[in-house]
This record gives sequence, C-alpha cells and structure tokens, in this order.
Amino acid sequence: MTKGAISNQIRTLRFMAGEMSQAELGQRIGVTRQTIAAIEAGKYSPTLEAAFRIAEVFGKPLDEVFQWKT
Amino acid sequence: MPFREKFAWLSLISMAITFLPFVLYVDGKPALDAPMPNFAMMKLFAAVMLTQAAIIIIGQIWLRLANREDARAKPDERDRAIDRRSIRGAYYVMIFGMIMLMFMPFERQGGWRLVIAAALAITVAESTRCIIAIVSYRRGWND
Repeated sequence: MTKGAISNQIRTLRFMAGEMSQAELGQRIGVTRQTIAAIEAGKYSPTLEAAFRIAEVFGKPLDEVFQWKT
Repeated sequence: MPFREKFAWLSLISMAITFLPFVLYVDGKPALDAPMPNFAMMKLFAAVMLTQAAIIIIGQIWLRLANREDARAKPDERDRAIDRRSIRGAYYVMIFGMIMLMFMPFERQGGWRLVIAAALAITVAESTRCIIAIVSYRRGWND
C-alpha cells in the first residue's frame, strides 16, 4: 500500500468565500467548528460524504478541495 | 478544546483524584481480606464512588453552562469516529482485566479484594477510553 496524506485548500477557499468562518462552514455541512479546524490542519480526514459537502459549499469539484499526496 | 475532550478530561481527573488514592490507601490493608460484608470497607468504597459521581455531575453541569453552544451540538462524524476508537481500546482492556480476575485465588481472598480488583479493571478501561479520546482529539485521527 502506498503511503500518502490528504491535503486540502479549505483555508484558501474560506478566504475566497468572503472569509467564511469555520463555524459557518461547519454549520453548513453538519459538523462542529473544531472538526473543520482539525480537517484544515490535516488532523482529521473527513468522510467522503463530508468532503463532497465541503466541495459543494464552495462550488468546486472534489479534487480542487482535497488532494492526495504520496 | 472540543467539548467532548473536556468531558474526557473531567472523567479522567475524577478517577485520578478519587479511585486512585483509594486503591493506594487500601492496598495491603488487612481490612481488605476481612470477611464480608465488612461495612467499614463498604462505607469507604461508597464514599469514593459517590464523590466521583458528584465530581462528574457538577463538572458536566459547569461545562454545559460554560459552553452552552458547544453543549447543544450533536456529536459529529469525528466525535463518533473517536468514540468508536476509544471504546474499542477500552473493550480490550476490560476483557484483559476480567480474564486476570478469573485467575485470582478466590478461596484465599476476601470479597472486597475481588470487588476492588473488578472496579480497578473498569477504571483502567474507562481511563483508556478517556486517554484514547484525548490523544485522538489532540494529535489527530487519520487511520
């Protein structure tokens, strides 16, 4: 199995969405502010459903929000 | 700090300041092997359990009042994932503790030694659950 890590552009996308707060993003996808902070920091990999919801909030395809780096 | 991590800290601290000193205090005391019902030990054990329950109840009320918004939020997918992981870890510790209990020489030991050994197994399992939850919240969850 190849080792890798998921990175994301959520912080940048929040900034581009008028400095959307972590709490607001969390509310829109049904998770807590702390979970958004953990996702941004790479401390938690969200479920596929949550990842799609985040991408939907920003109107971006999934691979523009999350990347797999080996 | 996530609300549920605070609960884990509360539970861990309550055990550390009640049950741990109790076990250290009674360990090696002759009263431990006195014939049942041994009301003195029963009173002491009850006092420890009631103190721990009081700390947890008061602590939870205080945490809920101090974090009203977080307290209203339902556990999300990360909370549930951490919960599953910590309960799984605690389960193995509990099973190990119960197996160890079966090897205790029942016929040579007082009933309270067995009661405290069982309570210790439960406490260690609960501590494991809290520690796994705290570490998962602090260091991350990526497996």
